[in-house]
Amino acid sequence: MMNENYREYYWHTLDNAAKLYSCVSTENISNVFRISAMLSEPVQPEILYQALEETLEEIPFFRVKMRKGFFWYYFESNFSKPLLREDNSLPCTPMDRSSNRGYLFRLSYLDRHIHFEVFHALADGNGAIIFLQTLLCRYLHALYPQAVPSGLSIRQDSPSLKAMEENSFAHHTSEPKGSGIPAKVVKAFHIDGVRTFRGGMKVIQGFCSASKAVKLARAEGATLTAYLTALFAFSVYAQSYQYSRRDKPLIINVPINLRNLYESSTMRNFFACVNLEFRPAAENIPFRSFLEEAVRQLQEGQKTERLSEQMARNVTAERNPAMRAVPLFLKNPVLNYMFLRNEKGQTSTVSNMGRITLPEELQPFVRRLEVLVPATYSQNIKLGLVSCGDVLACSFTSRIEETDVQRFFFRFLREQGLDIRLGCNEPS
Amino acid sequence: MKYCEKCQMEIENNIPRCPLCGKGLSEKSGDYVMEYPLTHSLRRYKTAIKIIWFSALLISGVLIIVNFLTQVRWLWVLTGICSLWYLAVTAVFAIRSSRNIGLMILVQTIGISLLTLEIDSSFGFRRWSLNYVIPLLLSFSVLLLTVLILCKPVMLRDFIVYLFVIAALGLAPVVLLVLGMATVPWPSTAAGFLSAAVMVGMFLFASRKTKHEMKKRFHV
Repeated sequence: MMNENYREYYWHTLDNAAKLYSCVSTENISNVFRISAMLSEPVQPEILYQALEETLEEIPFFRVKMRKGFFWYYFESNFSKPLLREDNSLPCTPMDRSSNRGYLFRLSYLDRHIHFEVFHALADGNGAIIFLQTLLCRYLHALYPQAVPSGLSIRQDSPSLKAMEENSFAHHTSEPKGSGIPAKVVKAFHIDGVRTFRGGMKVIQGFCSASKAVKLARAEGATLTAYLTALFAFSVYAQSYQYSRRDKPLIINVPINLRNLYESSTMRNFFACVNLEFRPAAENIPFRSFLEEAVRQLQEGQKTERLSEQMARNVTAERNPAMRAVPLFLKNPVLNYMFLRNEKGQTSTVSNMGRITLPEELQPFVRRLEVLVPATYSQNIKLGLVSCGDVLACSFTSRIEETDVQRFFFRFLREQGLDIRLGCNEPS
Repeated sequence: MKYCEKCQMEIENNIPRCPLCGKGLSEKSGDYVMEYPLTHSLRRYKTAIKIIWFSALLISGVLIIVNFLTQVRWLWVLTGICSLWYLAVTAVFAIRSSRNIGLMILVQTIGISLLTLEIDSSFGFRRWSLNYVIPLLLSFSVLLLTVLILCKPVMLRDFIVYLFVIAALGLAPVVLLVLGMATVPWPSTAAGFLSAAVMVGMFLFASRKTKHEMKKRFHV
């Protein structure tokens, strides 16, 4: 199937979100997220490389490089061999075309960990997790052929290649909405602190029992996402916001996966954002009020009409003839500006990948999964959540030295009775 | 495994102090986890490009000031500044896209054409740039790219768009000849003929690949 002819003429355009991400990729905003898997045994690089090649055969969508067209960027086949190396740098650094052979993902390993970093223009978290799961299937089959069968597949329905590459944003937008001119953006509260050296990412992770965490959230009448998002906002409030002028709102961006809502098997970006807005006007506001706000706003924001309206507005903006006919070198600064403006309109982002259920055969060999969302110039601290097996991984990435928010967050959970184990990427 | 008494949490890395509160840690039984490297490779910075732009601005400023102070003819300074910026652009493109030969050839063709045009018009405008330099340069670039494509057919998809653009530019000398701005017929006619031949050849001999590249590069 993947013969020379196929590779020669394989190409596709970027989806709606990717068009924004492709124009913004600097040291300050890398748009590269990381998904890690911790295995039970140290990684064997040769076998992992073989598994990578096999996975790229099965999912050719990731074997691309990004090229500059006159009007837009686009993807075409990457003819170089993919890279696999031992991790020796900070997480979530921007993709460097020359050192990465043009690939838009970076696979590395260290001891028992496999790190999979993806540039957001290529795929979103859900797409990347599917690739990683497939990779783990191939790798673990090669290591333990008796325990893990060879034809193990992640998806029951075996979507076609076209289904996996669908530009679901465009596909599910029926009628145009809005004029295409973006709405005014409210300036959000910005977490302040001493910047790390050259913007290097500081990672602090907390691992706890997923079932206990869900029970805790349910007891308060909330989903896990709502509970942890509210707790994050509360931490920011308690440690930073209540000592500020309190004139700007605390806005937390929560991306919502649209695949379940719209029946899509795409590996590309397909999400919409819900902005949770908190305006605590006084000092010493209790956690309860944050939680109620979060639950209410998440329910409101996840209504189908709201999400489809947002999608329609974005797609209309992209299809605007004025936007399409402008050459790329003129569009880049404009899109860059729009992206930065959006970033300034949010205090932070909480990205919950949800509960990942690995196939039974893989479960004894995979200890946990983690997701790192890169902190940026305007959003100094971000939170990535994922649970696999019974381990919930809360990963904070930060571009400031202070750890007040993370400390408050984890101590609060500790006080609620959760046992937490910490991990971090540098000595304090 | 380490343990922080204050935070009441285990820490799986072998570090001296708690990442949350900074207090010293006590030892506990359990293996350490090595998830992150102990040392990071240094990140490269694009300071070379910043240095080039800064030097170009600096030297331009110096030239303009010298011109004002010494009352030398204005045109000398203009030539100096144009040459300087041509060198700066060449250097920046060499650093940024050194592997993209097609783009380098295109940038050099346009850069040298504009520079020689400027020099020509500053020194009497005897039209040697329009008559000889620009058409011959365009012919040379078209021939160079065609030879590269024929020698390395694998690189066709990278070069074809640049060849198309340069060939399109190669028709311009004919237009200049017709308008009377160029006075010597043979270089411009040769350039136009060569460019037209190459464009026809592209669509006759590599039509699927050419059309595919055009569609990818110019999709809206």
